[in-house]
Amino acid sequence: MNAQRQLLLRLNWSIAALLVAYAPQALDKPVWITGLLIGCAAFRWYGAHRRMALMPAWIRTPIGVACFFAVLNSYGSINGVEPGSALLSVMAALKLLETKNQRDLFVLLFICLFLILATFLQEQHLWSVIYLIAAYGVTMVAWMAVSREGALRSHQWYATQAGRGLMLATPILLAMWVLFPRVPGPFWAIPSSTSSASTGLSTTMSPGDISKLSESNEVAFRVRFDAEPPAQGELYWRAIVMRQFDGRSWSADEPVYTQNGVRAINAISRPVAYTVTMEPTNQRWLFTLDMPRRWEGKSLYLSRFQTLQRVQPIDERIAYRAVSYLDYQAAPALSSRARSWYTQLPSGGNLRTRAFVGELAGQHADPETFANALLQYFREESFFYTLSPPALGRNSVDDFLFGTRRGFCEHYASAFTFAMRAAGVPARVVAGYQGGEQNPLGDYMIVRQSDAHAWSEIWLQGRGWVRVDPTAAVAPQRIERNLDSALREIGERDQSAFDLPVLARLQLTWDVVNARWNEWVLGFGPETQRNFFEWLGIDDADWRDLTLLLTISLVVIMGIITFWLWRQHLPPRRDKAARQFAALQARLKLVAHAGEPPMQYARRAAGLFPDEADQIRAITHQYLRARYAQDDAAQQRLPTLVSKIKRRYRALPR
Amino acid sequence: MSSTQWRFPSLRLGQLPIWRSFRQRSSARLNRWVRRRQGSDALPLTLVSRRLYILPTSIGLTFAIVCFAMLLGSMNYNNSMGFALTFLLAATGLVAMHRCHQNLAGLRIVDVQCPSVFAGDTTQIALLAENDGHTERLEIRTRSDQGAGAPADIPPQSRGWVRAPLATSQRGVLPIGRLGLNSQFPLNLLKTWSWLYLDAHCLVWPKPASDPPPRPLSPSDDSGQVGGSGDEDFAGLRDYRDGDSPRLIAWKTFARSDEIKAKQFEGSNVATDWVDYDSIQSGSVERRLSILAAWVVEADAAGEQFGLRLPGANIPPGRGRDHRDACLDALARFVALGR
Repeated sequence: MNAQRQLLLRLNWSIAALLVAYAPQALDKPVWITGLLIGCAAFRWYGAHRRMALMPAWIRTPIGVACFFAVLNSYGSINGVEPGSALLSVMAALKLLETKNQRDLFVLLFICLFLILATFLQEQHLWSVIYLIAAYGVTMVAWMAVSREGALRSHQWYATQAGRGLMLATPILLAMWVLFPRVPGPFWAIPSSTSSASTGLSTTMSPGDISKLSESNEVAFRVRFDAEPPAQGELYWRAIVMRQFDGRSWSADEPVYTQNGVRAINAISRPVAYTVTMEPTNQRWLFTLDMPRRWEGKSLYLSRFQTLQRVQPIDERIAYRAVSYLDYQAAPALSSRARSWYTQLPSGGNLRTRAFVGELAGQHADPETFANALLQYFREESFFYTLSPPALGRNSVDDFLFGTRRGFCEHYASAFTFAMRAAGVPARVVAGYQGGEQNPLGDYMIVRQSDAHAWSEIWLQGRGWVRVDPTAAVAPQRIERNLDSALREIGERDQSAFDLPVLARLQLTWDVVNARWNEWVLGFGPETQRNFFEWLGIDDADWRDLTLLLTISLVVIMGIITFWLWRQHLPPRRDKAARQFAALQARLKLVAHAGEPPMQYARRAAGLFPDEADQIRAITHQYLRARYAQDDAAQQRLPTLVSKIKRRYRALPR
Repeated sequence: MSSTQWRFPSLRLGQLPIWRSFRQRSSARLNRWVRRRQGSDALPLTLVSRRLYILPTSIGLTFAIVCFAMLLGSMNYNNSMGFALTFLLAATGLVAMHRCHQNLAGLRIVDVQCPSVFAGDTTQIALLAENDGHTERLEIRTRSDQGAGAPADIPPQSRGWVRAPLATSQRGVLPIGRLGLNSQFPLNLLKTWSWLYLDAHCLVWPKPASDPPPRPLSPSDDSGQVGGSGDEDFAGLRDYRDGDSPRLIAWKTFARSDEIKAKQFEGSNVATDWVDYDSIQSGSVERRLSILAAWVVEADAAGEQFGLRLPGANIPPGRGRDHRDACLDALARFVALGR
C-alpha cells in the first residue's frame, strides 16, 4: 500500500514537471507530439492508479521506432534545436510508459531539465525567467519526492524542502551569472533555425506590387546615443543599397566582404556616437546613421555601398557601437565602371518619363539644379502620400508619375532615382529606417518596423553621394515627425487608443523593462560583462581575474550557507537559569543524563560530592525557582552560588 | 515470453574477477586506514566533521555531467537563459552538498542495541541517534557490512532508532563490527557517511535442532524434584530455594516463623525440569547446544518450569520469556573448556 502511494506521489510530481517544462513548446510543436505526451501521461497516470501492469516491451519498442520516424518526417532531419527538442519530448512521453522505479523517474527528470534548456535555445523572452522558476521549481519538487525513500510526507513538505534549496541556491546563481567568464562566439557550427523567416527590410523593392504597407509596431532596434540625439529630420538609418533596376523592381547586390568600404568616406564634421541593440532579422544588414565611419563589433565590416554588414546572418539579438558623421563626403571619386553601374537602366519602357526627363534636363543642365527641379515638380503637382496606393501597371514609373500620383516612400524613391539615371546622373535607392521615438522613461530611442523608409542618393561631382529624400517633398511630416503624424495629416489614421497618455506611458514603460531585460539579462555576454566591470571600476578584467573573483565569492557564499545550516542544527538557546545549571554540571564534571529531572540529578550529585551536597541542593532549588516560578531574586543569586562550587578537572571514574 | 532469454555476454566491469579482488583489497585497506584514523568508538559519540565523508552518488555524477553539457551548450549558443539554468543546476548541487553534510554533522549516537537471534536468522542492529538541534534530520540509514536498513527521520530535540540488518551464521558472540551511518538527503546527489567502530556485540543463540532426541527426565540430586513434583496436591513444606515461584511460598508459615518455606505438591501436570548438557552423551559441542536450545524452546513453549545446567554455569529453574532468553544467552556464550 505504501509502495503504491509512494509511486503515485512520485509519478504525479514527475508528470507535472514534464508538462510544465514542455508547456511553452506546445505551440511550436506538431500537434501529434503534444497529443502523444499528454496521452502517455494520462495513460501512465491512470495505469498507476488502477495498478495496471506496464505495457510490454514488444508494444513499446515499435511505438518508439514509429515516433522516431514521425519526428524525422515532420522536420526532415533530427539535427538542430527544434527536431532535437521534438525528439526529447517524444522520449519523455515514451519513458513515462515504462516508468516504475526510482531510476526511471530520475531519467525522466533529467529529460525535463533538457527540455527547459531546449525551450531557451528556441526563444528567450521577458517571461523566460518566470518559466525557468516554475519549471525548475516543479522539477526540483519532483526530484525531492523521487529521492525520498522514508515515510511519505505531505505535498507541502516536499515543496518547502525544494523551496529551501532554491532559496539557498539563488545567491550562488547570481554570483555565477555575473562572474562566470563569458567567452565570445560559437565553438561549433550552430544549425540554423528551420522555421524562423527573416523579418524587416527586404532586399528588393517593387513599388508597383505592394498595394498596402504593413504598419507593424514591432521594435526593429533600439538606439542609445552617447550625447544628444540628432534632430528627427536627420535620423536616416541606412541598411540596404539597391543598385539594380529591371524596369519594375530595385534589388540589392549579394553582400560581398570588403575591406575598403571605409576608405571611400571622408568624415567632415558632427560625429554622433551611439549603441544599437537590434532584434534578429536573419539577414546580414545592420543599421547605422547616415554616414557610418567607425564601429565596434565582431565580424562587422563596411560594404562598398557604405552599409554596415555582418559576415553571418543576425540570428539573435545583438548590440554594437558605431560612430557616424552627419556631414560627410562619400566616394568623392567615382570610377567609370561604377558610373556606368549607377546610371544603368533597362533599354526600353517608361518612355513617357524618359521624355519628360529629357525635357527637364534641357532646362537644368547641372545635376543639382535638375534634382531640385524634380523635387519641385513633386511638391507642386498633385502628388499624395498614402499607405494604400493603387497598383501600378507594367511601366510602373510612368503610371506613377503621370497616372495615380499616390504612393509612399518606395514610389517616390523609385521614381526619383529612375529619373536621375535617365538624366545620366549616378543614383541609387537606399532602404532603411527613418526617425525613431525617444523613450522619455529610458534614455534611448525605439525604431519600429513602421519607421521603415526608402530614399535616394545621387552622386554629384566634388560632393560624392548626396542623400535626397523625395518623400520629404510630398509629406514633410513623415520626416520631421513620424509616420503616425503624416497619416493623421492626410486622414488615414484616426485618434487611436495609443494616443491616450496612460496607455502610451504604459507601453513606453513596458518597452523600458524589455530593453533593460534584453540588455542586462538576455544580452549579457562578453561585452556586457566587460562594460559592467568597467562601470565597477575594474578595467580589463580577463578570465583569470573573473575566475579568481568567482572562486572568492563562492567560498564566501558557501561559508555563509554552511553557517546558516549549522545554526539550524544547534540546540535552541538556553535561558539564563539553564545556563547556570549547565555551569554547575561543568564545574562538577558530572553531566545530567538525557531526560534526568533536576532534582534527581541533585540527589545523584549530592551523593557523589558529599562535601558540597548542600550547595548543590541550594543551586538546584534556586534554579527551579528561577526557571519555573520566574523568581528574579533566585536568578540573581544563581551565579554567586555556582561560582562557589569547586571546579573539578577530571570526571569521577564511572 | 520465454523464460530462458538470450542475453548479451556481460561485460560489466564490476564482475571481472580482477576488479572484484582489487575492490576487496582496496576496501580492506581503506577500512584499516579509517580504523587507524578514528580508533575505537565509545558511546555516546558525536558525528563531528572530522569523521564524516562525502562523495557524489551515481545520480550526482550524472547530474554533474548534465550540468557540464548544458554549460557547453549555453556557451556555444551564447544563450543567457541557458546559462541561468546551468548555474541554477550547479548552485543546486553545491547547496545539496552542504545540506547533505550538515544533515549528519553533529548527530549524537547514544546507544546501540542488537537483539539476540538464533543462528542463521537476521538480527537488526539499532543505533539510537539523538538530534538536539531545532531542525529535523532526514533520511538517515544505518549500514552493516551486510546492507542498509530503512531510512529514518529524527525530529528536532528527540531520539530515534536507526536500524540495519545483520545476518548471523553461527552460534556465539558476534561483534557487530564496522557500522556505517549515512544519508543521501536532500536530492540523492551526494552521500555523506561516517564509520562507527562500536565495542558492542550480538548474542547468537544456537539454532534449535530440528530433530532433538526426547528430553530425558533428569536424574536429580535434589530430592524435592524426584517423582515429578507438581503443584497439584499439597505434600508438605521444604526449604525455599532460588528460582522457586513466589506462588509456592508458604506465606502463613512465613508470617508465623520468619522461615521461608516452599510448599510441595505431588502431581505430574507441570514438572520442574532440568535441561542438562551432560544428559546428552554424543555429538559435537555445537550439536549438543543446538539440542539444548531445542529443549529450552520446547519447554518454554509448554509453559514448564525448567533450569539449565551447563558445565561451569547453572541457571536455576524459572519460567517465562526472560528466563528463556537468559538460558539461550548462556548457550550462546558457552565456551567448551578442554573437552
